[in-house]
Amino acid sequence: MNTSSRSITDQRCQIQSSATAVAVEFKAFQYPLVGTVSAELPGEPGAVQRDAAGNATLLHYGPGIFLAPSPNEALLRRLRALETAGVGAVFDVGGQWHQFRLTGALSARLLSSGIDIERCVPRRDCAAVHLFDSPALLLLQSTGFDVWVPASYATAFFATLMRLRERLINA
Amino acid sequence: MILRRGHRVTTQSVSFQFDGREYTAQAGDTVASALLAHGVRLFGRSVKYRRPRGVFAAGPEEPNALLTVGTQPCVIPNVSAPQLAVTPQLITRSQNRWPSLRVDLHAVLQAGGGFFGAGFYYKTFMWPSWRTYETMIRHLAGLGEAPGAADIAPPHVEHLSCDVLVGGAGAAGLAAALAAARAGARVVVCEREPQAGGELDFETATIDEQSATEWVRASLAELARAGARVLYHTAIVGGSDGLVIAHAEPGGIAKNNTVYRIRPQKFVMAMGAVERGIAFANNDRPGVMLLGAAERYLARYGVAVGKVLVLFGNHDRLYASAMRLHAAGMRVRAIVDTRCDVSAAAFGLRATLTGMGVECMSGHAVAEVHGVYGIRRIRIIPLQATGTERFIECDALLVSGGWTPMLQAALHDGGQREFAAKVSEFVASVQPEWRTAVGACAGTFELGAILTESFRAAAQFAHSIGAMGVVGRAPVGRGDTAPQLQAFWRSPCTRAHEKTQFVDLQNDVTVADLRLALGEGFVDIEHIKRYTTLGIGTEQGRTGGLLGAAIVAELKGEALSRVGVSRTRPPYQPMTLGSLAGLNQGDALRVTRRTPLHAWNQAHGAVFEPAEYWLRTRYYRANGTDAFTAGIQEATRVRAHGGILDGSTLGKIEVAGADAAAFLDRLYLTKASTIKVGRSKYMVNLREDGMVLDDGIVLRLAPNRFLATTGSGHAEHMLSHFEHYRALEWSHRQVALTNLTEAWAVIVVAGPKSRATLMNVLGEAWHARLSGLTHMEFSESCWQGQALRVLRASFSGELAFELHCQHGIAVPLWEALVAAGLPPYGLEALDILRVEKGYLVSSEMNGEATPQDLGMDGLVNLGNECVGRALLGRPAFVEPQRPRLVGLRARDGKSVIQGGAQITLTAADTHSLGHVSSSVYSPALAQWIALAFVARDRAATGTVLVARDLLRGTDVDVVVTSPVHVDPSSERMKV
Repeated sequence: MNTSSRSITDQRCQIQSSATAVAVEFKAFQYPLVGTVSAELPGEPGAVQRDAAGNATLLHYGPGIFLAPSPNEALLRRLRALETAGVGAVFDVGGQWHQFRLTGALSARLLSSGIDIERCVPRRDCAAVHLFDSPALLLLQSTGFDVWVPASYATAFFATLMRLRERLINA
Repeated sequence: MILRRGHRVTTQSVSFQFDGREYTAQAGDTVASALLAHGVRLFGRSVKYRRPRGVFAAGPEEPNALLTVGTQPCVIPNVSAPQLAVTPQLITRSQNRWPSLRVDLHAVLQAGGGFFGAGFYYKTFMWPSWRTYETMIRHLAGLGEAPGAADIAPPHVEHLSCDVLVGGAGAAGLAAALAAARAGARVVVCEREPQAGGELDFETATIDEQSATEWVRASLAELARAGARVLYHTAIVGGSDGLVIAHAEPGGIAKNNTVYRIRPQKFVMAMGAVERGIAFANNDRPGVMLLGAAERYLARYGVAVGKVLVLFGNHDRLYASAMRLHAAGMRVRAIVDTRCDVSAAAFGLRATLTGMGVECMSGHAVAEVHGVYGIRRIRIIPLQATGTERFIECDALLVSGGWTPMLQAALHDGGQREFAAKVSEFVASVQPEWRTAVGACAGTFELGAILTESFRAAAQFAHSIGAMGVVGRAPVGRGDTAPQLQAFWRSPCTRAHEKTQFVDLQNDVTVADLRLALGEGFVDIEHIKRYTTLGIGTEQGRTGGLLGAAIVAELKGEALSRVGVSRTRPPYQPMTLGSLAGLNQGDALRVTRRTPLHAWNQAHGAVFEPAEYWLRTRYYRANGTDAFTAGIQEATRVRAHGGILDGSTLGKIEVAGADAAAFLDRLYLTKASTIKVGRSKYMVNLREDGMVLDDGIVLRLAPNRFLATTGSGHAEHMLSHFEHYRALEWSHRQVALTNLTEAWAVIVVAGPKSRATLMNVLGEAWHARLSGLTHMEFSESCWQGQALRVLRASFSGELAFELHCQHGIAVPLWEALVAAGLPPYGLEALDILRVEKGYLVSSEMNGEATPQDLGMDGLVNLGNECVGRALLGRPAFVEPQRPRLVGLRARDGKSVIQGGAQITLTAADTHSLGHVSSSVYSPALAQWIALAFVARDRAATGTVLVARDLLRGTDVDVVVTSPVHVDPSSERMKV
């Protein structure tokens, strides 16, 4: 999929698609996290750190595995400091993931075509799942869902979303 | 048209077609109810004997009235007429007839009733050969016709979970759902009919001092308030391990249907029971119908299934039904009860009916039906010695031999059944702790007991999962009395009449067939099922399964409880193959992964081939009309000038941490810790058994940071392999790894002009870096503001570079290289270049090759202790017969060596010494060359062997060579 953003609008199910050019991943060497580190990072897998505006800044999507989808300088500094302290390693994963934002009343129904959405969220804020034959990270947002898939899957994933969306809207 | 009144029909009229004729129905009708209302009795013909058949049931258990919907090539066959909703412009057609339903030439098969007995095709069509008859039999066989095109859209799929799933929304299901919802559980109810209520549709009942209809309405309203979800048209069709699959077919047809994948904490099975028939001569004639079906058609659609009715059965419910049918204006001519005495509860009804002129015969049975396209009269016989045979004229015979619980879902995941003598049937018994059966499904047939039992069971379930709300008392109901059934399976008859005593209407299985199967040694009910076809097809033994088992028991002289019934398999109700496929069909059959250069390649004539899930460019159409010619042209051009390859599928795993080097030392055959920052090394992974798992280049990006490349499509597997050892073996190490395959696009630039062209394209800032770059060294900087890493490494034998770049510059960089005179090449050319140079192609890493087999003795001798090394010393790995990698060339210099050919000593030999793993036509050598595995003791250079292609029948004399066919001293790479 090319890296340009696409946006499909329909009030019942809006899909926005964009490449994540800047993103980092932090992987802890040991899990569970101990001491002060556990206070700095979202504690349990599935927990999400958000900024004052409610935007997700750090997703704890697997045991000791964190994704910062669009990290600011402060967060980057914090993660680099943890790396220096021997807590884990920071990886530049810009370009690895492609983001889809689903909003609207049908977005949960659309995702439930591939996964038991009620079982994944809202019991947790984010989850690593397998969705429409693609590895995916799922984030619960106040207006819908964010989904990240590896960039190579993005075209197929987008086509599936569009196909399902059209059928649901016309059903 | 006289408007009918029923629970489900409205006054709006709808027209549809059946066998080319237009009919008018009322909205809400099914095709069966509408045609019955028009007096149509003939719906189809049977599959084997082509006997005329009418509607027998009122649900998915219908064995006869299966229709084809639509017109070719877009038809849906075997749609149950009692479930198929009439919609405008609906086109339906009867099945198993030619040229028409009324006049069917194949009906001549009826004359062969004795000839076409069970298993006739196994033993009849053997001379002169099966092929003689095959075309004719295939033409006649099968239910309906397959569609000529796949026009049906994939089903909707919905995954959902709930606390309590209730299967069925009859009295039992509703009571269970109410209890669970009141307790506070999240409830989902699946009901296969378009409305809730089940038999309350017609049974004379009151619940909680309301009419049954009012109670159903109030219950649904309460469930809606509690947030329960009721899925109509939705049948439970399968599942396992706590997953329940349900299938919704609105309108009874696979259009706009939904497959639900439900994970409940608890599952209450309240799917009820299906009425079954009784075997007697000609019990398949149009006009013979299940009693409950007749009541459903009356209550739901206002359809009278006949003018003069006779009821035949073995329980008390006959009398209550007769009262209702009579009250609706139908003439009940007689009731034939096989029991000698009715119960006290039914005695009053019987007296009333007698007073109304209904003849009530106890201790009698219907022995035979006369008529072909309908019933003219029936023959009734006494079951005791006294009494005489009689004939009664009627046009509908309503039969009820009891009810068979819908146990399909209860018999998987360890669910058990047991025989309940009181009701002469098998009922659900021991179930997994998350599942229970209630109501008729559990053998309870009296309304009050059904309500109480179901309500309590669901309340207990809800409480057990923490839903502790107050459920109140169970609904109190009163309806038809318990049936007081006495088992009766078939009417006495002569052997000749057994050929028309049908047990399984859909598959034309008769009592004679069962007797024949037993006589031929098939004694187990599962074997009898397969030999006679009892209970196969869309009906799945619902109306005939238990009946057949009971008659087998009678013929064997055994108890039914010992004979048992055959086990059903999902889907319990028919589903189209498209529904089973779910979302994975058409373009979505298989997910595909695309590189950042995919769109460019597609726009420039790339022909793709799948590599794992990736779509990779095989060749470009501009270079040839087929892979062979294009591959040769592209490879020739790379050797002569240069070319570029989209290598973005290359797996990339970044490994970081203070222990990263030590960790990689354990996972590779050679040490990573000796690699200097800014350099790379070709390295090999082994499995624990010593076999080669993967190979790639490992780059040291920083003292504590490496990038390990893997084969295309192997990144996920290799990451999992690495993580396994990181988490389980060396969890104390400071090391972390992640997959960065998609983060970097990779462009391979190969050929004698590669360096010069790169310098030209990347600009002056890169000149010094590129000119000083030695083999296996890399340099990192930027191009057009984005990160670019250039690694000097070759998989073609030419001077070559791998450009690892960020997505944003992948296409501009690629286009700049093309514009500078380096055309793209694909996998065909890459394979040629690799085989010429003796580099491994994927088929050499087949999971059976050790590093020594692949000529990597030098790497092994370095002595690094790593995963898989311990087993490399096995004696079997150095046996003289063990194959190792060699090169091959045709002895005559022109013959084709086929991949997969077996290597033998001579053309007459059948003992394989190895096989050809990869073969290509080498444009550099102008002949076919190959890589092959050949036994070590026959692998000396210059040995003449034979490559035998047993599939194509060709033998080629080949000479063993070094695997490196071109440039053995690697001069071309050292430029």
